[in-house]
Amino acid sequence: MKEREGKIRLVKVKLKGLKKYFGKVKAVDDISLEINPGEFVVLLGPSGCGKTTLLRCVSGLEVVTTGKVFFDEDDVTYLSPKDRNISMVFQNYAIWPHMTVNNNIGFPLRIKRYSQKEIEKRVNWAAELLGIDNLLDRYPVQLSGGQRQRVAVARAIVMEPKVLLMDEPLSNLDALLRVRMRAEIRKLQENLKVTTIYVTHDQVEAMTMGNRIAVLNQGILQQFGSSEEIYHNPVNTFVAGFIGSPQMNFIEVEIVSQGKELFLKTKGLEVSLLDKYKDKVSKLSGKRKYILGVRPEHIYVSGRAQTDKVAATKGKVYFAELLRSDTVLHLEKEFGFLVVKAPGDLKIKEGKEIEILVDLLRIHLFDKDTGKAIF
Amino acid sequence: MKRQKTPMVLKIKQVITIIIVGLIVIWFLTPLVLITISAFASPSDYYQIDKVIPTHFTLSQFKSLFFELEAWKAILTSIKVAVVTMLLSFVIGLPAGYALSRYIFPGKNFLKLLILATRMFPLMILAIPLLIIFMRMGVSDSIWGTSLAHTAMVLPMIILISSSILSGVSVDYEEAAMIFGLSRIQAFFKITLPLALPGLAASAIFAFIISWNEVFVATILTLTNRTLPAHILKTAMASPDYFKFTGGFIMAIPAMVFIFFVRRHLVTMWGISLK
Amino acid sequence: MISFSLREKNWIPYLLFLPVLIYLAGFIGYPLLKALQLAFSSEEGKFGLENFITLTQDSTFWKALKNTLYLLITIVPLQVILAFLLALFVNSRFKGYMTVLYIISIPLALSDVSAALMSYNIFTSHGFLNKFLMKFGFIENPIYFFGLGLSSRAFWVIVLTELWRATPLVFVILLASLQMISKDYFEAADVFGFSKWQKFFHITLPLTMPSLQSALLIRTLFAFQIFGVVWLLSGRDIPILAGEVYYQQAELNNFRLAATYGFIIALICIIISWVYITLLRTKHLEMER
Repeated sequence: MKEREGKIRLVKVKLKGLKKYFGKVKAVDDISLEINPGEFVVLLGPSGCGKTTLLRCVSGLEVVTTGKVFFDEDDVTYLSPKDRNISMVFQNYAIWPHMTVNNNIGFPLRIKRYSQKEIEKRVNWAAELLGIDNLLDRYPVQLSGGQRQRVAVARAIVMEPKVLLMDEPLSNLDALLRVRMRAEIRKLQENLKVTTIYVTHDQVEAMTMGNRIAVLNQGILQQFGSSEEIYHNPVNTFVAGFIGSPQMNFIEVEIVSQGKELFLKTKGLEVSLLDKYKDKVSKLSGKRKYILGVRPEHIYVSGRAQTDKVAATKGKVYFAELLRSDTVLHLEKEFGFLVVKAPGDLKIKEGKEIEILVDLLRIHLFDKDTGKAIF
Repeated sequence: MKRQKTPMVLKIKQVITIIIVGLIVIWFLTPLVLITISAFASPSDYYQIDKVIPTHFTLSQFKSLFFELEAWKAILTSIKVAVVTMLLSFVIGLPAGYALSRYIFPGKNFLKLLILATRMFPLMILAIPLLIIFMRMGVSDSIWGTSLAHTAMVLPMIILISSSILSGVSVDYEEAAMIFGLSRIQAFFKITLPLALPGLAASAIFAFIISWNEVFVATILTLTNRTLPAHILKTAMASPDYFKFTGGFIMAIPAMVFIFFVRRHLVTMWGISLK
Repeated sequence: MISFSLREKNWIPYLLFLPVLIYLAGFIGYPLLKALQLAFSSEEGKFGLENFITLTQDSTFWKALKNTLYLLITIVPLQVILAFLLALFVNSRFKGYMTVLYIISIPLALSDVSAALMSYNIFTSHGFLNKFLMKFGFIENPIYFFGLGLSSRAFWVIVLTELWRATPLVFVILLASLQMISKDYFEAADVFGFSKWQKFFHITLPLTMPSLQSALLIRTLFAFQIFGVVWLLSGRDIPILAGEVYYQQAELNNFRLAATYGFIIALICIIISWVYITLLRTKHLEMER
């Protein structure tokens, strides 16, 4: 109880070779992560990828199969949740229905034997911070979803925990409220500077909130990095496909050399490689299959390109999604559909053939068998 | 700081669990096992004071109970009464259960409260006036009188249980059927009823068992057409012990079969019916 | 609960309810009035409190009332505590808990007559208990539990029988409500530092309280109607209210006094329900609307 007065001590969280098996199912498979003091880290992945299990291992609600959890240099792997000095916001809030808002927020403090005065001070502080100070005497059944969410967050921060855990806290809110709470939680964390681990399946949440993002799939850590890294340098086809909307185009290609030039080639598309990629490709050995990845926003409609390093091709517009802010074009190509994100003011008729330009600087190449990125 | 459970602690916990389970099993099963033994034990073994566990078994007391004491008649009456009760309570109660589960209408809460109140009310005290009414109607001392009284007793339960079971069947299925050309009544019989059938069947058996077990009203309402519990209550005091055990055993059989069949619905159904 | 929009046919639910209402009016409402009339009419058929005066001057009535209350205060608390412990245990979901649940539930479907005979089988002079104790030399002569002058022993056999028979009833109510408590509440409690006992007293107990209370009420009401077990095990040696209804009607053919006993049982039940409903309210459920 050193932190009772004064500032919160920032804690580094270290996961080392964490595994959690449920029978034969490998929910979390050998994950190591280091989270810096005061950092906001998002665990991102599709449902069933193990992100919630990982969070629960950090909280102590699940006991790990093997591996270690450290808070700073303290090994907390086998501590029960109450001894870890953490707090958590649950997906369904889990605010206790038989306690008033005041009690919900204050009860954990009472259990830790804080003085009545201190409890009152802190509850008021947290309630004001979340804008629920007028609801303190209500019971949860009398609150709206958004208000319950705020109570859950207030309860989580009032203890001034070493680590704050959030398990899809916004998934039960409607879209408008979600955007607002997103910003509020982010600002709150910036002010409190508490080390935070946040679980979500929503890539927009992840991109906008996290200092760094850990992308998980099937219990395995795919990539851990800033949103910029994850967007621009995805390490494999999973991360590349999971981040970004509409999804990245994946096209099976062959590598063809013509004199000094190298091309990625398939029927209907030929992309020449810039010098900076050539080294990486020329090191490749053997006859392998490759996948070209290019995001819809990195293919331009003729006349709208911002660079001249492009590869041109043509395609027939099969379907145009007119979002007005953008236009998403689905073009018919020999290798399947190619999705292009064009400006919203573009006037295009379905069935018409148009010219498009692939940005040569923004292409990705993956090994087809392993899915790993070559560049 | 407390560490999380070590294997040793888990082991001790496991042993304690096993001991408690053992105690529970012994406490709840012993009377059943013992009455089964006694039901078949020969009277001479029973009266032999140093013979704890009988060694000679016989069906003779079943025979004399059935025929000399005319228990077969009582059993038949019991079954008839229980079946009539079951059918009657369903025919009357199911529509009301459906109304509660599918409609919102003014007075709904009042009706629900009314049913709950009848559930709480000591209905046994109605046996006296019912006897007088049935005597006037000319159905006293008949299976009809007893069935009518039993139906009044189980009806509130059947309504509450069936409404909760029907609520468990999504309205969407019924609405989809109505969109695709079925009338509301057809939709109920072709879609909702089959889906709710397992639960409804369980509650039907439930009604059967309540009627089968009920002793107070049955004893008061009948003289010659006695149900089995009434018959046992009236004759048991005057007959030798081993008849009592055989009678108790026969009465317990449907109960055990019942519990076996509805074990999946047990907690929910009793939870509803007793709330 | 979603309803179809049926503005033009809003009489349908009432139509569906009609049979029930008619039936209940005929077989509960009317007999109830009849019972009232019986209880308040004198031998010559005039309105009066004669029956109540006869009753209160009869020492058996007071004995019956006393015995019923004794049984109530011995059985009900034990039953509720035992059932709660059982429910907590089964709800811990150890391996094979479904089988245990099934075994505990068996007495649920047994009649009181059957249960009484089962315990008679154990406690009678030639019963298993006596034979067992004698065989192993704990006693020389059988202990008699039933018969004249032994009503205090029979009383405890009745208590045991009722505990065996009706504890599962309370058990399922409590188990159902324990199962309804979301796991999240306990996980949140874990995270926010509750100890095992704090979880029990601040989460489990308050959240099961409504069910605990209604189980208590139901058992209390049923205790006033207790009949089969007592009648079979002790006859009128332990007079009880419901037993007197039966005795007055079946043995003495005194319909008016039987109805008066019935009226008193009903009155007590109504008063208890009323007190219960006004006294015990659960705030977090009440304020919902």
